[in-house]
Amino acid sequence: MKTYEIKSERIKKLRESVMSQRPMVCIERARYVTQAYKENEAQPVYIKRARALEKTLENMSIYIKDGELIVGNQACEERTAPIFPEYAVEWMEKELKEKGNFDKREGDNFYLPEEHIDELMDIISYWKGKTLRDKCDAVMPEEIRKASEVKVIHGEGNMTSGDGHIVPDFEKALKVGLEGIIKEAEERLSRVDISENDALREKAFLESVIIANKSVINFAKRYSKLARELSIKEEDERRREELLNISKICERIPEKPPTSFYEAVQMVWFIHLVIQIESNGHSASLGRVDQYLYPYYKNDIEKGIIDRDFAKELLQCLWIKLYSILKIRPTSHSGYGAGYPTYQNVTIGGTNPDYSDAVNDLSFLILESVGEAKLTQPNLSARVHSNTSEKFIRECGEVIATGFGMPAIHNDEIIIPALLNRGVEYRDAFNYTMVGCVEVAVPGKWGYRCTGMSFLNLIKVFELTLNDGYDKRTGHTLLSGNGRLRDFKDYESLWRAWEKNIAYYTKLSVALDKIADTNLLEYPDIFCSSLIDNCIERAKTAKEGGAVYDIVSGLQVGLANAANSFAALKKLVYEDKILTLEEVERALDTNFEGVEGERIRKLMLKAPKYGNDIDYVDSIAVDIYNSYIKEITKYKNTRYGKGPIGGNYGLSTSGISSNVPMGAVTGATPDGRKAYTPAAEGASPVQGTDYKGPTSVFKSVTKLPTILMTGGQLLNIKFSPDLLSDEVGFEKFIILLKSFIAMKGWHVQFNIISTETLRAAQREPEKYRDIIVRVAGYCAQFVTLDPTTQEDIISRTEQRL
Amino acid sequence: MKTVICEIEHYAIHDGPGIRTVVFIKGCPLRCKWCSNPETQRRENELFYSSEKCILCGSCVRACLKNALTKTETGIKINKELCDGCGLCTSACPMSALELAGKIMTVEEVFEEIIKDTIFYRQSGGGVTVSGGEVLMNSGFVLELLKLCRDNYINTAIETSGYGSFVELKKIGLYTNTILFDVKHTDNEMHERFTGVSNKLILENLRKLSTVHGNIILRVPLITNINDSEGNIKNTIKLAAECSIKEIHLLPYHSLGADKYRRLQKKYELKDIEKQDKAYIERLKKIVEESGIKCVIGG
Ligand code: SF4
Ligand code: SF4
Repeated sequence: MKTYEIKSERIKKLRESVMSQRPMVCIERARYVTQAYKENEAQPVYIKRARALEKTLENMSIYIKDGELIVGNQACEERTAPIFPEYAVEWMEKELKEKGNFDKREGDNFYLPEEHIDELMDIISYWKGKTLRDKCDAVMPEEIRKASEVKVIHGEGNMTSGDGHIVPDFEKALKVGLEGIIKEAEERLSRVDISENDALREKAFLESVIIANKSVINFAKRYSKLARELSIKEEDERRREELLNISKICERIPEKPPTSFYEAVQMVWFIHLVIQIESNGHSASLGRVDQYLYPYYKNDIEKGIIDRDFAKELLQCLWIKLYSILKIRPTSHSGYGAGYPTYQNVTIGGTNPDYSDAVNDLSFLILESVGEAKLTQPNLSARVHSNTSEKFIRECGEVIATGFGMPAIHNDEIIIPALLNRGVEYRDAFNYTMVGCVEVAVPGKWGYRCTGMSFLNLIKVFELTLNDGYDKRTGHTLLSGNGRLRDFKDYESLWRAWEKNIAYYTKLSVALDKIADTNLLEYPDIFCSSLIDNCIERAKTAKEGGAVYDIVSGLQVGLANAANSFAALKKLVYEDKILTLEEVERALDTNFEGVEGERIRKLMLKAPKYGNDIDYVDSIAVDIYNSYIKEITKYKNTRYGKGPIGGNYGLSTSGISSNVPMGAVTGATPDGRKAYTPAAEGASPVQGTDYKGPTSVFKSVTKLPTILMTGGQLLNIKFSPDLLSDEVGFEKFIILLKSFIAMKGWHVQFNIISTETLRAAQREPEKYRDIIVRVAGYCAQFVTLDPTTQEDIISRTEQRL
Repeated sequence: MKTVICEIEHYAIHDGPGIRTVVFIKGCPLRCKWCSNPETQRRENELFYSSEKCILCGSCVRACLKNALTKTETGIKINKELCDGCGLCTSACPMSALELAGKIMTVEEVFEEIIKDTIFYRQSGGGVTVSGGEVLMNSGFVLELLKLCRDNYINTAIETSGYGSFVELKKIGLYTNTILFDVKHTDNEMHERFTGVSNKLILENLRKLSTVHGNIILRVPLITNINDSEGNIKNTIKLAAECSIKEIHLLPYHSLGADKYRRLQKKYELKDIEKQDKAYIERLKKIVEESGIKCVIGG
C-alpha cells in the first residue's frame, strides 16, 4: 500500500506555519464594513454591500509569506477569523462580557488581541439592533421561538451568518476574466429601461456588480504591488524571481482570463477568497477543480511550461490557503459543526454525459496532493460510477486507507438520476458537484444552500409525540391534543400521532427558513451572485431568484434513533407485550433509573436496530422518511416562481455534527438511548449498534428513498484499521467500494483510526495534532473537538474483524 | 433442521475468496489450547457471564429452573453440568451480564442471513464459509445448508479440522468450492498435547480428500513456540506437495479470544504467549513460496 508524504520543502514549511498558528480573530473587516455602511446609509442595499466589500478589500492588511506561491489572505493572519458584525453581534458581546475573550470555549477557541477589544465593542454598539439576527428576532412568531428553544427545530446558524453553500461559475470566470463579468453587467445595464417599475432596483444591482468585480481586480493589484516591493528587498535570487512572477500574475488576473495553470490556480483562489470575505456563510466550495483546471494543466505540461511536481506544489499552496480560512461562530452554534469546519469542498472524478470516465491526470494529482497535505481542508470528494477507472478507485482507496477520512465517496449512479428526477437538464446533472460535505449542486447555476437552512430534530419530534407536545427541559408545550404514550393503545395510533407531529414541525422548519431567507435579502452577496448563472441577466441576486436552479432540502437529524425507537415500542409493547406503556413511560421519564430501568433499557437495546439489514426496523426508517417527504414536498422556498427551476424542497441527511447538540436537548428514547446523549448522525446507524458490519450498513442505508434525497445523504463508517492492514484487507475494501457503487449508495466516508489512538490523543492532545477524523461530512482535527464530540467518535462502532 | 449457531459474521475478509459471510457452528471435538472461539467448542448452548456488568441482584438465580446458578461474593457461578442453555436467566438479568453464546437456528434462517449479502458476493467472488467448531460434528446441517447455497449459486467454503468421518467429509466436499483445511501440527505427539486429539485421522482424511477435491487450502494457526518452527512449516509444505495442494495460509497468533475464556469461566492456558514478529512471519512465508506454493498471511 502507498504512503503519502510531502516532498517539497516549501510546502512542509508553509504547512507547519499554518498548522501551528493559534486561531485568532481579526476586526479589520468589521471596521471597514461598518465605515462603509455609515458612509452609504442612503444607498440601495446592493450598493451598500458592494461598497462594504470594496472598502474592506482596499484597506485590509495584506501579506505574502515567505515561500508562498499563491497569495491572498482573508484576515490579518493565517487561521484568523474576520468578524461579520452585520449578521449578529449579541453573541460576541455576551461571550466577551462573560469570558473576556473567545479563547475559553470548550472547543473551537479563538483569541482576540486585547488591544482590539474596545474597538470591537464600539463596532458592536453600532450594530446592535440592526443585524440579521435582530431582524429575524423582530419578526419571529412566538411558536417558532418556542420550538427553537425546545430545539425541535434549529436555525441559528443562518441567522448569525450568511448563506455560503455555493459554487460559483469558476469555469466561466476563467474563460472571460472578471473584465468579462463587468462587460456583461454593463451590457445588461444598457438594456435597463429606467421608466420600468423595477428599473432602479435592477440598475442598482448591476452597478453593484461592477463595483464589486472592480474591487476584486484592485485587490489583486495590491498583491502585485506588494510582491514587487518585496522583490526589491529580497536577497535570495530564486525567491526574487518568484515574487516578480507573482507580481506579474496578480497584475493580469483576475481581470484578464488566465493563460497558464499557475494563473488559473491563483485566480480560483482570489475568487474563492473574496466570497469568503464577502459573506460569513460556510461551505463555499470550489467545485470540479480537476475538470475546469485541466485544460490549463494539460497545456502547460505538454508545452513544458511546468512539470508535475510544480503543479502539485501550486495545488498544495492552494490547500494550505483553504486551510488558513476560518470562521468564528457563536458557541451555541459551534457544536453543530465542531472542529473549525469550513467545508470547502473540492470534487474530482465523475462521469461525462456520454458515460465515459471524466478522470484525468489532474484528478490523480489532486488526490495525491491532498493525501500528502493531510489537512482538514479542502473537503475532498470523489465522484465514482460503474465506469470509473480501476486506477482511480484504487488510488481513492489508498488515500482513504491513510486514515484521514478523505476522499468522501459520492456515487454518480444514484446522484445523476436523482437530479434528473428533479428536472435538472441532463448535461447539468452530469456536471454536478459536491458543496460543503454531501450536498449536491450544479456549479455556477445553483442558488445557495442545496441543503436547507434549518434542522429538524427527529428524536425531539418523537419525544414530543410521546408527551403530547410537552418539553420537560424548557417547560414549553408545543403541539398538543394528539395524546401521549399511554394513550396509544396500538402501533397505528402511535403512528398517526407521529404523522401529525411531523407535519407540524416540518411546517415550522420551513417557516424558520423563510424568516432567515426573507431577512437575508438585506445582506446580498453581490460578488458571489455575479458569478451565478442567470443573476446578471435577471438582475437579481441568487437569494432573489437569480439562479438557474434553486432546490433546497430540509435537514433532519436522528433518523436512526427514531426508527429504533418505533421498532422497540412495536416489538416490545405492541407485539410481544413484554413491556407495558406505563413501564416504558416511567423508564423514559426517569432516564432508565434503577434496576428496573436498566432491565427495560436492556430489552430496548436488544430490539432490532437500524443498520443491520433487518427489514423489521429498516422499513420503519423508510416510513419515517416518507412521512417527512410527504410534508416537506408541499412547500416552496422564497424563490418559487421568480425564475429558478425548482423553487421547492427536497430532503437531505447531511446534518453535520448536529447530532451531538440535538441529542443534548432530548430526553431518553425507547431505542435505549439515555437522556441528553448524542443522536445518530445523518443516515448512519446509531453509534455502536451496527454490529453486523459495513455490508449490512450499506444494505440498510440503501433501503431509504435515496433517489429523493437530492440534498445529500450522509453515511459515516468507522473502519477499524486492521481491516485495512494487509493487502487482502485492502483488496476487499476496494471491492466494498465497488459494491457501494453497484448498490447505488449515495455517499460514504470512512474513519479509519483505532480507539486506542483516539484515547491517547485525548490524553496528550499536543502529540496527536495530526489525527484527523471525519466528524460528519467533513474532517476535523480530533484534538480540537469538544469532549462530547470526541466521545461520540470513539463510541461509533468499530467494524470488527 | 436446526442447530446451535454461535455467530454469523458478515464482511469476513480472511476466510476464503472475496467478501464472505462466515457461519460459526457450535461443537468441536478438538480442544486446541489457543482456540480463540472457545464458545464454539461444546455442542450445547452455554452462557457468557460478564462479572464487570453484574450488580449481584440475584434475578438470574431465581429465574433458573435447573438450579444451575449460585451467587457468590465475587459473582455468579455457573454449573455447566446442570445448565441446559434455556436462556431464562439471560432474560431475567437487567444488566446483560449473562448472555447465551449461541442461538438455535434452522437451515432456512441461516440461509436467509447469508443471502442478504449477495451483491457483495457478486462483486467480489465471495460467498459463504461454514466454520465452527467443527463442521463434521454437524454434518447433516452443514450439508443441507451447503446444498441450499449451491442451489442458489452462492460460492461455498468450509473450514475444517478434518477430524471426523471421511464419508461425511467427502459428501460435504461435493458441495464446497473451497476447503480450508487446518493442519495444526504435523507432529502427532505435539498435536495430541495441544489439541487433545491425534493427527492421524486428520492427515489420512486430508490425503484421501485431496484425491477427490481440487481446491484445498491448508491453514496453519501459528502459535508461538508450539507449531511455528521452520521445521513444522517445512513438514506442512511437504504434506501439501504430496496432496498437490497449491496454497497455504499462515495465521499469526493473536489473543483476542482471551477475554472469552474469562466470560465462559474457563481457563486460558496460553495467557503469556507472545505474538510473532512480522519479520519472522515473512520468513516463513518465503519458505513456503520457495517451494512453489502460494502463501497468504492471515488467509
Ligand atoms: S441458561 Fe437456563 S439452565 Fe442455564 S443457567 Fe440460565 S436459566 Fe439456568
Ligand atoms: S441477574 Fe445479572 S446482574 Fe443480577 S446477579 Fe444475575 S448476572 Fe448479575
